[in-house]
Amino acid sequence: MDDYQNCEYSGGCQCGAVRFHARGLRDNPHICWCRMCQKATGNLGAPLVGVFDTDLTWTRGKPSVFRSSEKVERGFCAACGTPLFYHHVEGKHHSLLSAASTSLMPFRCSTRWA
Amino acid sequence: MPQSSDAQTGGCQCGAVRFRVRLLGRGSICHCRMCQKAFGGFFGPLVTAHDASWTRGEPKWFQSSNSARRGFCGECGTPLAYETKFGLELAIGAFDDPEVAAPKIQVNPADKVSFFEGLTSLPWREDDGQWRDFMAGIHSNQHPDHDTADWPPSGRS
Repeated sequence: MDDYQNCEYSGGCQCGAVRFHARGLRDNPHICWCRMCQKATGNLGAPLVGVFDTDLTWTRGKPSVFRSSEKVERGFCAACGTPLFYHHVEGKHHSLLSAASTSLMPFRCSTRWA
Repeated sequence: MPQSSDAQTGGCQCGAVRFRVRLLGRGSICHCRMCQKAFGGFFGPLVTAHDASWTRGEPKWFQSSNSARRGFCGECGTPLAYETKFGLELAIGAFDDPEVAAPKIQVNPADKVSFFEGLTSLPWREDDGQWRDFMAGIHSNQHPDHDTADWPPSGRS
């Protein structure tokens, strides 16, 4: 098991208009099969992993958001459409679409910061 | 090759873009890195679409390479389409009933994520009640899984 909390990760959308940096992840990589995640991503399920808001920086551009339900917004790149995150508006973390970063996918460290 | 005699429908999460397709070709999952990134997923699930039309709105397009462009909803981002000189493919998860286009083949194995084979045997999260209550309390803004006369419903922007 990797030490998600002590690694740095970067990623972004397909066209590169939106890029992020995450300083540590929550230890919760998962796949959600709900119909809303399916439809939002045009996929069979959504691979997600949380990062606390205090550890997340948008390093280029900003995602657009769609309020998919009363309490949840979903971020995407307005220029190319790549789904980027799921976010409960009262929560303290964003759940990133984990395939948005090669370093996120195997959930391996790219750089250790601690 | 699986085919459907009835038209199939689908669209994006918010409902601004809707499509109808009269004939489906073979469903696939593509493991290439471009599909992974475009979908934000571990693979891209696509089905060849013959005689397709956009019945509400139009997708925005991103030219992802010299040979392909990818359509998505400009309002909510849902990945919807992949188009080359060989034709149009639609995102399987965007169909109102994704079951109509179950993948029959995998393509581009070089970029397949190392843990792909293990995905279906992952343990399920134990239901502690908190998430069940959260899911039950959702007031969804997602377009329903069928065509609608007007969208969004009056009274909602």
